[in-house]
Amino acid sequence: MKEYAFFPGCAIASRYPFYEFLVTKILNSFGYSLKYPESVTCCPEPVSMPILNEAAWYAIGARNLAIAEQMGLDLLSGCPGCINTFLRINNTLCSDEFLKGNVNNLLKQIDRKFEGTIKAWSLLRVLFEEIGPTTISEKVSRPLHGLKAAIHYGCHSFEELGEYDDLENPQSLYELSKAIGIDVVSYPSEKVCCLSFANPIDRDYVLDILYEKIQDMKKSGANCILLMCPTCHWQIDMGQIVIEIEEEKYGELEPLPVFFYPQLLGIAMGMSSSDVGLQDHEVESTDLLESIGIS
Amino acid sequence: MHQRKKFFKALRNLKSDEIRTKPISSFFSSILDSENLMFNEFVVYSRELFNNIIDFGVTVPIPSYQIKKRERLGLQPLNFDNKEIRKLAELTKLGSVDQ
Repeated sequence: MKEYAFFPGCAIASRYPFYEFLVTKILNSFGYSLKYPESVTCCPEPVSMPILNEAAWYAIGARNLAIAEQMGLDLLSGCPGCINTFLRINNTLCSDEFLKGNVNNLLKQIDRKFEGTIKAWSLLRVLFEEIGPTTISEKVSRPLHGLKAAIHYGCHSFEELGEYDDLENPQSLYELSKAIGIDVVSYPSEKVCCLSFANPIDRDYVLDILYEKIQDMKKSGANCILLMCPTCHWQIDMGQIVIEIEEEKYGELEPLPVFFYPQLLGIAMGMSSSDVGLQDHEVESTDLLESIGIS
Repeated sequence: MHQRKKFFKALRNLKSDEIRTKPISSFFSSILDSENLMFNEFVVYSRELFNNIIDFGVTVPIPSYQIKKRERLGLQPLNFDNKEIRKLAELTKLGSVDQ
């Protein structure tokens, strides 16, 4: 049984506990064991934090990595944002002894030390690279034929995708979706960011971009959206509701249900829609799932 | 002023990053080309996230109903060591690990 230090991530713990539940349950079913590190904090968040206080960003991130190092386990998270932070901090500190020394001077004050002895893995990478689409397809008891998914990888995933997938034309989530019977549609704005970080700066711009993206997906024939990132999910799920409310500006929009891949994997493995937490989403998915025989 | 320079430098790096796609680039371009107060709003937002980490260990505080939901799902309670984070926050206001 392979073990990982499991880092839930605050966006998942605070908004999507069922996602955390699914990660543990699904990986357990593939023979993995996840151990929670003690006393970890936010990764920290990878966009604004390093701009505001780079020293604190490195120190807090290195502290989290040091805790996983003490467990002697590689770190795994379902959140691509957390993986973005850990990869950048781990890779930078391992290649820059001066910076690593400075960070360790800070960590020494709290009796911690960053060694650089472990790796950080995303759930997507483990599902695709370690377990693989073929093994996953063997666990499927009801393939999800009839779902036409528009995949949204999300910017943070690209930090790691370069290590195991094609950055220009990533296949991992596409292959994993096919493995559970989902048709994937491609659309022009596939790599367009959800822009969640820009909410406090220019909300109108953010909604305009999201609206264009949803329209692209619909024109390509998608009946749902598939992703891995909790921040993107919040942005796209909630964002569509806001667009619906602002009907005067955007016109009538039939929102697309937004699924985390582990939710659809859980359903394909025999779990119910309430088991996987679909009732917690803003955009209703009941009609769509019933249309393909899932209740 | 130093932070503002760092902010623009970071935005330029993002802008030139080919992985980042059209909307991000044009969005950052619009910020870079403008003289408005977006920078201040971004800093206020970032400070709020950072303060949340110091106070709660997380950028998004976990509401009580989600804590109960985590319990119902049998998930392990999360415990954060604010003492260590407060110490690091105190230290990093003085020190620098700029490359």
